[in-house]
Amino acid sequence: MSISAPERIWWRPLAKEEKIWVIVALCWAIFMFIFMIAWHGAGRQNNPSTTYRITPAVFAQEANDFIAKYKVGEDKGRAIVAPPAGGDAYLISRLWSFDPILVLKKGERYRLHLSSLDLQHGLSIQPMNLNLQILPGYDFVVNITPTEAGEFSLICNEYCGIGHHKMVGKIIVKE
Amino acid sequence: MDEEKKSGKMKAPGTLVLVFIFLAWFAALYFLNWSVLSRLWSIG
Amino acid sequence: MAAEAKLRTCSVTGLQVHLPAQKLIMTNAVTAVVFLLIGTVMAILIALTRWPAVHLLNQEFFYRFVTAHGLNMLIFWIIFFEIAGLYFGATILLNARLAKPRVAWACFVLMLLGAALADIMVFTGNADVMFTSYPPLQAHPLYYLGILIFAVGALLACLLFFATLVLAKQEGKYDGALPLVTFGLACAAIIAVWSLAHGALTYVPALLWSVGLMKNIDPAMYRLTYWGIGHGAQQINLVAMIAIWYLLGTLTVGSKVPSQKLSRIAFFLYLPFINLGAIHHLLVDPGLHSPFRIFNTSYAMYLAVVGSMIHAFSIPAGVEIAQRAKGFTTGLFQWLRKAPWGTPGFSSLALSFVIFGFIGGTTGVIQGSEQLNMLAHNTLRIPGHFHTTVVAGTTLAFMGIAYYIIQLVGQRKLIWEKLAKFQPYIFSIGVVIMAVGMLSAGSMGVPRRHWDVTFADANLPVSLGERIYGALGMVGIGGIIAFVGALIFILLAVGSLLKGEKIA
Repeated sequence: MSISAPERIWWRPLAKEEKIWVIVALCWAIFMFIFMIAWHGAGRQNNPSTTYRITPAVFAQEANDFIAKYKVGEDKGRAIVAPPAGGDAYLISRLWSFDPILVLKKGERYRLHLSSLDLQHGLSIQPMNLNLQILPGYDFVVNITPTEAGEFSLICNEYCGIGHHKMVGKIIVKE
Repeated sequence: MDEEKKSGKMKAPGTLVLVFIFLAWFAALYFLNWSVLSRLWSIG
Repeated sequence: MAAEAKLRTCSVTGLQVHLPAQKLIMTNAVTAVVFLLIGTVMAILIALTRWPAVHLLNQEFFYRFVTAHGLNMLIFWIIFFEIAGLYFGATILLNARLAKPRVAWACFVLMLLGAALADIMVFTGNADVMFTSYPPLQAHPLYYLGILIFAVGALLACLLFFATLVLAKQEGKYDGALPLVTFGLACAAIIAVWSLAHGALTYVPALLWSVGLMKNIDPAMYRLTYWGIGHGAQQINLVAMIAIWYLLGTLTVGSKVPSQKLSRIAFFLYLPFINLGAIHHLLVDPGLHSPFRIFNTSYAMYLAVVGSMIHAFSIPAGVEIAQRAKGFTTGLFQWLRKAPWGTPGFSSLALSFVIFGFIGGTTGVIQGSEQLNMLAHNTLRIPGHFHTTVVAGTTLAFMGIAYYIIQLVGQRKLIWEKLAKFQPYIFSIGVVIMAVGMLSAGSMGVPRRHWDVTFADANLPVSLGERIYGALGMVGIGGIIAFVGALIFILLAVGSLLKGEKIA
């Protein structure tokens, strides 16, 4: 019984069914563990790690310099920026928008810098459904290579106050 | 109490079948998710 | 002896019941149900807002009620009930008395004060910060203070539980090992101490920062310590729920533990490993590297998962052995078909066990895999996961045991026994529909904690596709069914304690 004290000697050998299941469970556990490590070698989607400390003011400065340098147009007051293939790109998160609109080339790799100027935000790239956390004070460097052309929406998925549901942005991927 | 004492001779064949059904379901969902992930942009 | 006089013998189980402990168990459990009611009302309002066809609340109330829902359900309902469970496991199951009933009352008052303070701050609009209160988002200082007071009360109650175990041993109430259920509860209490310590590491700085004594809080550091309590608290629920599963197995079909050794090892595996899972919330955060993420997210090679898989075997095996001993030996599953499906204790056990395992556990491990988390982080997949663990799992198991506590400890018969038979089914069907809706919507990119996924007010057009409306409709409809199931439980519990026939 589970509610009474066990007999004095309770550490008896396991039954056959139990042994089978414990061994299977252990193998599955080790497999899942190794799978994550192996994906770092074999898979193309791995969690970014490169991070620098940065103040919101410095990040805003760097991002605005970037926008001024590579701006190619405007959409309802939002800058449209085409960074050089293989180079750095900046995305500012703040209450309540992602700026600028980025124009990327399919198959090219970019060093995308993510940081927030105020609260915590969440970067969610749709419809692909790729999600990353953005914190103020941290420059999160994401090496990203778009593999399909089209327009992608950015939505914020970390609660950031009353205008949270309006916080969106855009990435355009060209062939 | 007899069952508890006779170690090595437990009779729970139904449970063993159930847990393997569970494992099969678990593994199916697990690999389905990795296949969805493999279709994302390359990121690292 | 004064202590002797304060005992009664339970007419059903023959166990000795310490009367001051009985009063404390009932007071904590009833208080828990009151908070469950608050959380349940919030739940239906939120579900009806996330269903775009209804979109009930305005955004201010929506975010406020999401905050209140998380706080009242995940902290107040569950922890008050767990404290009742700890007192039950340390006294009634051991035929022992509670070490210091006065201290236990002090704990209760602290917890109630803290909970009331935090709730007042939330409902008056002074803490629209979500359950996570991630800085730089800031709440009123009294919100942090309320949670701290509550946590101190809960921590003291855990220590009192340990003291009661020591006292029972000194008084010769048990010799050698604890009963498995009490052993499991002790593991839950150890995890609770670890989690509450992280609560202090989180909320003390937050309080100092909110009154201006600290200049700022590092958001990444806050997330690390916060999830020590935020996720750790869910591991208390997990371990307490498993102890309750074993208890329900014994109470409903007379389950025996197939292997005391294996079940105890499985509980023990949680102690060093399960809380590493706090990192599940930080897998796509800046500032961490992958070896750290992989080690922690897998609870060091998934050893805590092995523990859970052992319980996944031992609990049904205990039922099967007991049923086969009653003569249900035909084929592989006669024992299961002939199980007492009309007993709410048993159906709660079976449903909570199956839903927790098949949906809650699997989605947890999958979404907690390092890379796979990029598909799930902050989407509705996360609430989809934890509503199948902490709602269909823990809450349903607690409802199942509550039906026994009302009769064995509260000494009242259930009013409307027939309704009680259906309650676990209604509740779990509702939660499953809702959670599957959340998981599908989340996999299509619908974010959690979001007021308007049509993005009608946004200055760029965004569409997550038409299919999300079907999934969000499931959230709304499942939410209504689960709401009905929860209300029936609350009505039955409170009604029975007030109007139920007295059991001598």
